[in-house]
Amino acid sequence: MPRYVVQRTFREGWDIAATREGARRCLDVVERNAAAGVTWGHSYVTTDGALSYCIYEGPSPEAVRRAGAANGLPVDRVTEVRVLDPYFHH
Amino acid sequence: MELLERGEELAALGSWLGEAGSGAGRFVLVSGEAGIGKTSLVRGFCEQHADGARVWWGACDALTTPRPLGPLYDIARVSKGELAALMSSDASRHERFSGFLEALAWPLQPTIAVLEDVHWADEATRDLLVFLARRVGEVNALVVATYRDDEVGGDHPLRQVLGNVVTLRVTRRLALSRLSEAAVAHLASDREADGSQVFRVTGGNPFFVSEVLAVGAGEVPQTVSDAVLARAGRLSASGRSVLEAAAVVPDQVEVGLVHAVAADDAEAIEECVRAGLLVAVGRSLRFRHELARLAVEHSISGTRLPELHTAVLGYLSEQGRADPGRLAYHAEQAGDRDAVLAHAPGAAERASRLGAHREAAAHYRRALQHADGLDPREHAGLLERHADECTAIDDEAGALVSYDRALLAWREVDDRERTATVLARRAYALWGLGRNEEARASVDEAIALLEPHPPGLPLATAYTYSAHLHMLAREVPRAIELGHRAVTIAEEHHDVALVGRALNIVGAAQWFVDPDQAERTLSRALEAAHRSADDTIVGVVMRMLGSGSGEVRRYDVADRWLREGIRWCTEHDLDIHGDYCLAWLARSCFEQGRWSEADDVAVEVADRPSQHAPTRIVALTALGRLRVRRGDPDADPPLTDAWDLAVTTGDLQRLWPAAAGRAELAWLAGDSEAIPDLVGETFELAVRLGQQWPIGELGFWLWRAGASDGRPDEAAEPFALQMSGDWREAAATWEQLGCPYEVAVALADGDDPDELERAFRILGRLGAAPMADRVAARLRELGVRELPRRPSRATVDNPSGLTDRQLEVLSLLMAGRTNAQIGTLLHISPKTAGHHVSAILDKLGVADRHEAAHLARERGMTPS
Repeated sequence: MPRYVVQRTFREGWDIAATREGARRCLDVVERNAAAGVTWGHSYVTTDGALSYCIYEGPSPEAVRRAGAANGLPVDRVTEVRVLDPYFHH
Repeated sequence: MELLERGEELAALGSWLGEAGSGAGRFVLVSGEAGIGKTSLVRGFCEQHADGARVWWGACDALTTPRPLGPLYDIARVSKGELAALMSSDASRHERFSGFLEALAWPLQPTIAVLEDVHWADEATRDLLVFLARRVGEVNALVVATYRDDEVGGDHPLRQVLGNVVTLRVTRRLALSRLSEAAVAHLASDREADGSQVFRVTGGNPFFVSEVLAVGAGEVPQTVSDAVLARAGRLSASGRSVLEAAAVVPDQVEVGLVHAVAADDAEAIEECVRAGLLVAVGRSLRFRHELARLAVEHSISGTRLPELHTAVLGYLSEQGRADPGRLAYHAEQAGDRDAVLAHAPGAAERASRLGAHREAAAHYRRALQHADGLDPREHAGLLERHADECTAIDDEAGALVSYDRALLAWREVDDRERTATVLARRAYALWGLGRNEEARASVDEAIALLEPHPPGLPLATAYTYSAHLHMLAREVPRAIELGHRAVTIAEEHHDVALVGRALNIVGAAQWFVDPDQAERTLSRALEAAHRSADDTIVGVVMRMLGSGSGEVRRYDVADRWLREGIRWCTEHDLDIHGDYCLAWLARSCFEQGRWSEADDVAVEVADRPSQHAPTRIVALTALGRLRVRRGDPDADPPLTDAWDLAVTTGDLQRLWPAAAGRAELAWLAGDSEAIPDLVGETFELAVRLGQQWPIGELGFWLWRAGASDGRPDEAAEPFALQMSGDWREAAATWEQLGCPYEVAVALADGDDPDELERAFRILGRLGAAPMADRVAARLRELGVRELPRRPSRATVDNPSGLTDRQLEVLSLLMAGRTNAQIGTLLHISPKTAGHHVSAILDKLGVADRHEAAHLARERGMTPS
């Protein structure tokens, strides 16, 4: 399945604390993702929480966007990517 | 024989019957190789539930050309009542299908309707299966269809049916497996046979096992045929002749037929039943299994076989009321040329009336194989009708061969009207094969033959075909003129169906010159189509209303008729037209900036099994263009696929949007040099045909690439304005049309920071990242430091961030209320309501109220 980087801008900042509540919210996202057939790998979030880069796998860019809409997550850009591992080229 | 190792299947059927009994009908597909025991399973199940359910049984049969709706006629004969009356009337196919569905819903008990051996189903029965599967969920019935999965290969026509029904909520599947060695050993031990040897020879195929065991002690027969013939070999001479008579009839055999053909000897029949080779069903007999019938049929000598068929034909002809398809089959097997010619055309007409065009074409072909020396007029008529049926199943090449021969035949007998009619219809086949010049010449010749004489329906037909060809080529004025002539004549002769068809073409052409008039004309066409009670023409006109208005960007009209067309076509199973409307709805949503809806609809079309090229072109183009504007990956493959398909049609309407999408992709990627190659030829075609929307859009890209001035004089207004530098007016025109992305693109051509910021906000709402980036760069060039905050759709913490009042307004908006209505309901001014709506759009990050409603629905809000 293709892998995508999804760029998101958060107006109020993205705040998912490492609490029970935060964990529950993540699981909610995972569940709605499953309905759209996409998998959330992990995310890199800027320290102010305003911008995130999320690694996703899914059948099409539309599926990734649909999952975003279902979760109320903004989508600025969807880019297809491959893994490049620097330590593999030794 | 007992039913072994089918406990799970019986339990599953039982639970589905339970669901059906509570009103949630089920559609069950039972599959497996010949002899696996599909019929035994279903019979056993029906017997178990004989007290709790009403059972109807219909079978498709192994005639070379199956009886149209054979199973439905079987059921009607048994069910009596309204269904029987309906089936013997001249009701339309849709009325018959609906009548059957109504009959299935019986308040006292659930109904089990078994449709056996549907791998042999005719075209009409296959349509019936799809019809039932889509609707049985609403009635208390269990429809069970059995088929041989090993005979349904990739290009088998049942594939299409399976593709349509397997994904439905109501569908359940049972794939039957062979018996285990233990089960075979158990059966064998009852007969004192060697179980492992029987298992090795039969592989556990239940029918084969039962035949081998029935032969009894001695050597184990190596094939099903050997086993059956070994049993048959023990019959008396008269028993053997009864068996042979029954074997040449591929469906049920009347006892009277056996008496007439074989021996007037009740004892001989009894002997076959006792031996377990034949089964008595009321006053009829059938083989215990089709495999046994085939084994016996193949053992009959080549001289005996035609004699038997002759005798069967004689008996059936005397009985009257026999299905003409059955008569034609035996006539052909008997080698009786006169009888084939007497019965095959009748069988073909009946099949055609029921919509089984494939079977109709086969019957005509059968008649034509015996037509040498026939009266020339009759021969010509057969050829013409064969060609018409080929056209109905999209076999243009087959149609052309027969039209050409019909043409020669009609010319020979000097029948001007028939010659002309064939010339006109032949043109359509030629066009379908891409031989456009010959198509023109053919229909022109038809008109030239008829015009010197008083106008009648043949001339009206020829004008209609000619108008259609001109419309397809976008030669608009001539199409309108010819169509009008056809309408006038058809009206004088009160042929309302032809009036509908001709008006549909006139209206289609008028979209390009006078859209208001087009809508009026097509409304008249729709009225005529309804009056002629032809469901297909109604669907075709709705499709034309929706796509034609969409092409000239009249989105209110387009969306209304596309949705209406989808509803009508779903109700009447007109999949090709319904799917086309759905694909066009995706395009319409895309052009109006309702992108998430466009995305949903395009994916829905892609999931349909239909491979109809125009539908795929429209859907793929919409999806590709959506990816281009969002900056999503993989925009190129759908556009290239759409383009390649469009090239094979050669039609401007298919080529233009795909070409524009590819140009836009190149431009956003900074590759303007590629644009002339991508759109140049299509632009020339548009100019030749004088079509202002494609001239506008493709000219715009050539102008953008600096390759041409884009011919603003001939272009549609907003493109013309933009190419001549008037971006403000262009944006205003796009706004009126309802195309937000194009508004932003026009504004982006200016140098007014306020307007550029407006463009930036629109693009942000749409999620059009690549174009938004360009506008941001332009703003920076103009020295604007602080870019407007990129509007985002929502945040996790506060999914919409709406106030209570805004939520109230949103739920009214979902119900389709206008600002004025919202104002009245909430006791505020329409202007204040408008402010709330704008704030909602901004917070949700959507382009318009439609998309806001769509998003709210996605989030599970309900309208009020």
